[in-house]
Amino acid sequence: MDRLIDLLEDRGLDAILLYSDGEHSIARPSALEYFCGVTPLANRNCAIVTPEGSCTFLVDLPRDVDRIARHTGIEDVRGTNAFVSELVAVVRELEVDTALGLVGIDRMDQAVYQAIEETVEQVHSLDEPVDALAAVKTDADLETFHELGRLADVGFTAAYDALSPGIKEYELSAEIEYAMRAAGSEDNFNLLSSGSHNQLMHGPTERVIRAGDTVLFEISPVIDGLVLQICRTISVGTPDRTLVEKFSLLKEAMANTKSMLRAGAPAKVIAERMNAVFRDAGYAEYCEPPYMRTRGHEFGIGPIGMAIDEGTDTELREGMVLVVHPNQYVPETGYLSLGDPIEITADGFETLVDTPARLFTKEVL
Amino acid sequence: MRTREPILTHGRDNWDTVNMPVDAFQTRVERVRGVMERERIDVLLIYGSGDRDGDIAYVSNLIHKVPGFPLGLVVTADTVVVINQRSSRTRPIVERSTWADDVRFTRNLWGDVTEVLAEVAERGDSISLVGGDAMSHADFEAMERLDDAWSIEVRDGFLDSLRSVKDERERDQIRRAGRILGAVETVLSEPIDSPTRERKFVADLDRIARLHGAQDVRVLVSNPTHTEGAHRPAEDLPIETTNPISIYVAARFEGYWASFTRTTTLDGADVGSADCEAIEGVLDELIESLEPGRDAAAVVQDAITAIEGLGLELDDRYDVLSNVGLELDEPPILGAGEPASELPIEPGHCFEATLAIAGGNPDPILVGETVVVTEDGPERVTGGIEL
Repeated sequence: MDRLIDLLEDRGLDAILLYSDGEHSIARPSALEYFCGVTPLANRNCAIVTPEGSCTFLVDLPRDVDRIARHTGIEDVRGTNAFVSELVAVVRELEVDTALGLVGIDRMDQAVYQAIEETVEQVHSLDEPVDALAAVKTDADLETFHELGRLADVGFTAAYDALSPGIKEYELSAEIEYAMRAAGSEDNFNLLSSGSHNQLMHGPTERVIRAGDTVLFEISPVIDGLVLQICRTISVGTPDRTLVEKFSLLKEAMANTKSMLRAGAPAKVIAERMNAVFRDAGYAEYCEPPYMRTRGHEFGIGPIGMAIDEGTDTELREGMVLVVHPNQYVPETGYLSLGDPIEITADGFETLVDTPARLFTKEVL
Repeated sequence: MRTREPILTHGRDNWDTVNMPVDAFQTRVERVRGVMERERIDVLLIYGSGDRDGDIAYVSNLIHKVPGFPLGLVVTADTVVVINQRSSRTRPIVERSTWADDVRFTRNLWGDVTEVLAEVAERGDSISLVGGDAMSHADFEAMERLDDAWSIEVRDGFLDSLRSVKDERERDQIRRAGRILGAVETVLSEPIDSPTRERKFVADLDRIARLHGAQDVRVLVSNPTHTEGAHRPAEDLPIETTNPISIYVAARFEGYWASFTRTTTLDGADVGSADCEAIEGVLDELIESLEPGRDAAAVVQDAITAIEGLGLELDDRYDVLSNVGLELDEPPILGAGEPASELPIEPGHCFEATLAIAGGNPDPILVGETVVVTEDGPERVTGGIEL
């Protein structure tokens, strides 16, 4: 919150309004949840922060008020069944009439935005500067990311343990999620795919996993609105030589990339180093859409943070948390998956999971 | 809105065309077109995002899975076009999930809508939009920037009357969702003899529902021994086996939801409260009153009167009756004191009937069931655990 107040003063604003439609996920993180530390249940919620440090939280579900107050420590939490008119009343009560900074405009429905625009003289979007603020992780954030790494390991271990010929994809997904939730994860962005030639990862289907399948996982636990991700591949039964050979390209791409990771290095080097391995192996066309897009992304409150491709124009900074994933479609084997979450440190990086970065084999009895 | 948690839909992803064949959707589209013709609408745009995907699902069978990537439909007398603001990598999944032949992928939903309108509509056509209230300001502005020739009238709620009366296949899907919840109730009824934690307990329920084929699961708890009594997502808190808790569980099966709410203890013993038994009786009466031809608002008022007669108070932060189907809270939604006008109950209405009582013993008491109204009267699709 102190960082928000500094931003507010720098910009000469009367207040900052953080808005949320209640969605908070890896695909669509929300600044309100990040700064206030609670995911509201309603689909219209906002917190208004003033230069004096006061915060008024308004939620479109009166029964959620006590929980929000308990989690955030904010004293002025108000529930309403008439969100738009109550929001206007709060803005007037706080004497915010000249300049209001808005965070989360893309989440606002038209009625909310229109009411704000009609009430305040100037409305400024602060999404970008607030994304930048959140990109600098606090010590508490980093502690949570380390815990998320542990949960990602729990998820993959559960996947490995439950995987056997005959299990359906959705049953496997349920076991992964159960293990992670029981261990403390609040949510899980879990994609997988099984088959002899996978095209992409997706939500779990009714497909029955068979001996000889390759099974891909993207497992992403959530705590306090923060997300981390691990990507791995398991062969059901002894993998054939082609699979082993092609997967070694992913391992090489991962190692090739990690050797360059340190604060100050350009982020695009991640994509460049990965693509170099696949291009040298003759798979240049498979490094481009529709086969591949990004080679990793940051975890923050922007749209899945910063996406990393060869055009990414930013430097890696100490404290940045990202996933590097040389996931690759290879025509001989199908799509393969390998990705590690890492934290950029002063002198290099730290991998936040203990699960080895390799092709796993689940022996078939 | 019961809860946005979990945000991500990642349960079983399947479309069983035996349960819900293509012609069921084609019949629906013809009904939609019939209303369009009566209302003199040439083109209907349907927008869906997040939990507000019911209109999209009703016509196309697609449900919204990825936050921030809305779905659009363009319906005319001849065509149904699906527009996905998602990566084309998802094409196989989307095409497997919908009967519509014309599926387009875009990074700019409204840009594509313009292109589709240029193909299927004529200048001066009457164009209506449903789902405008689910639309972000940015999407709304993008819509307004469309070529001036396309004048779009927002008609939110346009499909509500069609959706609120479920046909036999839809009722069956809700019954299937109810059967998944039956498996969850079986687990709930098994006594637990040592304290557990909320997250572990909820993970158990979620797992059972998922293993039985739930596409999405929502679980809320009320654990008044440790926090406020309102329903909320699980936290890292203990549940003692003898302390009353309340559980709300909703499961979605191939688009359709059912839910139940229980006030119980985990040790398998009765809550042992006269208030609970009395409220269960009021809920029974309310459900039995959901007969075709009755006025839903009067049924709610009767329940409120009965609760007051017990010296208890309805917690008006919860709705008493809400339609359930492709969304958890579909119109009409009736709480305490609303609406003034009559709402005749029809066969095909599917309700979540919930009573939330404040100030009783225990406090709160929360009970609820999903009920399908048939031509023969109300049919519970959840239930089985005695309070």
